Amino acid sequence: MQPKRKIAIFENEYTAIENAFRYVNSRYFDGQFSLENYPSSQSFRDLVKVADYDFIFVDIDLSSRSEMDGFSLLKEFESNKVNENKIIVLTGLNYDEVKSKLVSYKLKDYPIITKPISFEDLKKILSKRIGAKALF
Amino acid sequence: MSILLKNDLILRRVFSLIFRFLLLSYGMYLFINFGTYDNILVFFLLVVLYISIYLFTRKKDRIWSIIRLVNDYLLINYLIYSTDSPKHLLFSLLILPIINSPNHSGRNRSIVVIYILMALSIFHLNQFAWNFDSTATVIVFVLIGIMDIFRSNYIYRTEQLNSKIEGYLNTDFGLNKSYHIYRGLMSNLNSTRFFGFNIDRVLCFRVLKNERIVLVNSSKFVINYSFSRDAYTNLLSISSKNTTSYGIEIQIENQAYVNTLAIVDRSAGDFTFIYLFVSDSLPNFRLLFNYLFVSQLKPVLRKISKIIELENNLQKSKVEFIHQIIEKYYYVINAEKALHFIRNKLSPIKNYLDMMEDFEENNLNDQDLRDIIDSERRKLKVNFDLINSKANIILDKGKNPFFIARTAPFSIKSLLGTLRRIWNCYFDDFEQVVSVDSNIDINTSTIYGNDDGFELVFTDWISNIDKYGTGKRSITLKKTPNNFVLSFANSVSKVLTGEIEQIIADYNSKNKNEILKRRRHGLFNVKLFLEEMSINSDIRFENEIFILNLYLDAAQKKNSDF
Repeated sequence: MQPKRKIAIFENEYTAIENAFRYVNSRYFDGQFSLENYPSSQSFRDLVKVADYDFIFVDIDLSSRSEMDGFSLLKEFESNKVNENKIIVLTGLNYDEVKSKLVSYKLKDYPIITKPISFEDLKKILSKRIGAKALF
Repeated sequence: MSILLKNDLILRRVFSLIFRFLLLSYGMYLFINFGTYDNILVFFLLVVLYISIYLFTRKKDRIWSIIRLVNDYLLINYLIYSTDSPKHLLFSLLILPIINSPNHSGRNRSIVVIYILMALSIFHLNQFAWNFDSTATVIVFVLIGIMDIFRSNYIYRTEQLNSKIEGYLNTDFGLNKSYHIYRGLMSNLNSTRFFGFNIDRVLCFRVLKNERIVLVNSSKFVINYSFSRDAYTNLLSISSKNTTSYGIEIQIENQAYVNTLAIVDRSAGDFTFIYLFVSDSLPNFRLLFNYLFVSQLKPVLRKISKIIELENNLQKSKVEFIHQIIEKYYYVINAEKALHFIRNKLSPIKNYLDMMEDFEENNLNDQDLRDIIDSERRKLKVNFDLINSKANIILDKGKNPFFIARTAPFSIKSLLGTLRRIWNCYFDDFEQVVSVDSNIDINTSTIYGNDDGFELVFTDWISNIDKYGTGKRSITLKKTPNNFVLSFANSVSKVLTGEIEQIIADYNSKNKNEILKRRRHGLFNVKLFLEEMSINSDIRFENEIFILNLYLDAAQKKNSDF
């Protein structure tokens, strides 16, 4: 049996989006993904190992107890040379605001999904990435 | 240079021109009556030369002002030489430049030169013989001249010091930068040896409650300073007497200074200021000059105190304003946070609807997917309650910093004051457009309203008049048996005329307030604000004039504290 592909979701309000991930996984990807939630940056012990994941969803506003916010996490991933095609940004802020902050922080141009999100948003972006065979 | 000094220079130049005209006319009179026609050509050439030299040197300073004087006395001496004029007439002629000396247009009056020329001319008049009477006359004139020079120099210096204040006010240094004045003040005081000492730095202190002295500002930035106990006591003592004191020791950046002069100024309202002039030398034996120095500085220091006091008040207003803004800012931040929270909580709703649609449209029969959808549905109820409670936070009017429903008695005088201030931001004809019924006593009449509310209403409405008005405008305040009616009337542009009927119908309707509230239109904001303050209003369009009437309920009469 082939090992499951892994998705890391850095999100402190995971319950609000969990079912969207579960539905899209079950309905369109045959449950091939294992979903792992990290409500804070430090809950993922060794950030170097995030490169082992097939997709990384990063919410910009993490828990107030988180040592890093989403932008700092992205910066950390870049310094660890994590493949940028694996990373997707989640946010409850405005799309343009996050886009311009990515530029001002000199981060790469990651795809952004704004909340509220549904499985349709996830399906589109995952299909695009997998269909493009960027990772596989 | 201050405006006063500039005007003074212009006047002196004009008087200088008139003086030359008089000198020439008087000279011609003497030549025609007492001269010989044999010399007329020479006299004519001399007059031409005199005028030419004068015109050439007219607006020039320094050596040129001396040349102008020599030019005058050459003409005078030619008349002494070539005419048989009576001595008293010639004497009158040669003292004319002395009489005119207060109007000397050169900056440094050539006091020595003018008296040497006069003395030489008198010597010439006496046919180069010594004469006691003439010598006494010269001495008297010299003494009078010295006194006049002393007085005018004093006024000129004082005015120059004042010009430093004027220069500061005309330069955009920004708030709390009044220490820039000291630099100009010091360079001006140090440019003369008149007082016999050099000012190294100026420090300004404020005396608080007659018991504490704190540094306000200084010509050079000071990090550490201290006074000995005696010096501190001395300063507190002179601060209550509005006097001056020499030799108060101060330590600045661990260096002691003893050559100091402290001048107290108690003219700026609540505070007493002490200006400490630190010098490399302050010779006490020049008491007269030091007295002059202090008397010259006092009016200037009084102005600086007023500026510092004004800056202090502005700073207080700024802090107060920032406090108000901070409250509003926090409200906006909280509202933003609440919306962010709501957005997050809307995800299950959006996702549930999409999942249901997908599930039903595709006739899916997968129990796992059904379980996920059921799980999402259970979350909806919880999220709905959370969203609702957050929405209540935003809609809680008590927390809204723009809440203006609390009204209180508001004097008509304050109302007109607010109106004038806002009107003046857009137009400059308040006095011409405003008309208040003569039976309204603005000092005692009060209405119900809210300060912020009137600010919002007037700003919104007057900006609309500015935007759509076409020139005619008026404000009237009338009294009716039950209330006051404040009316704004203005002509409007043709662009707006087409939709005016609809606007009036909407505004005056009592049935669609909640709909109009959500329109982003200045007009309906005005209605919203007025209704919050329980002020009835209507708008009309009569004879091409757009009118807004505010019906202000009279409050119980009381003395205005505006």
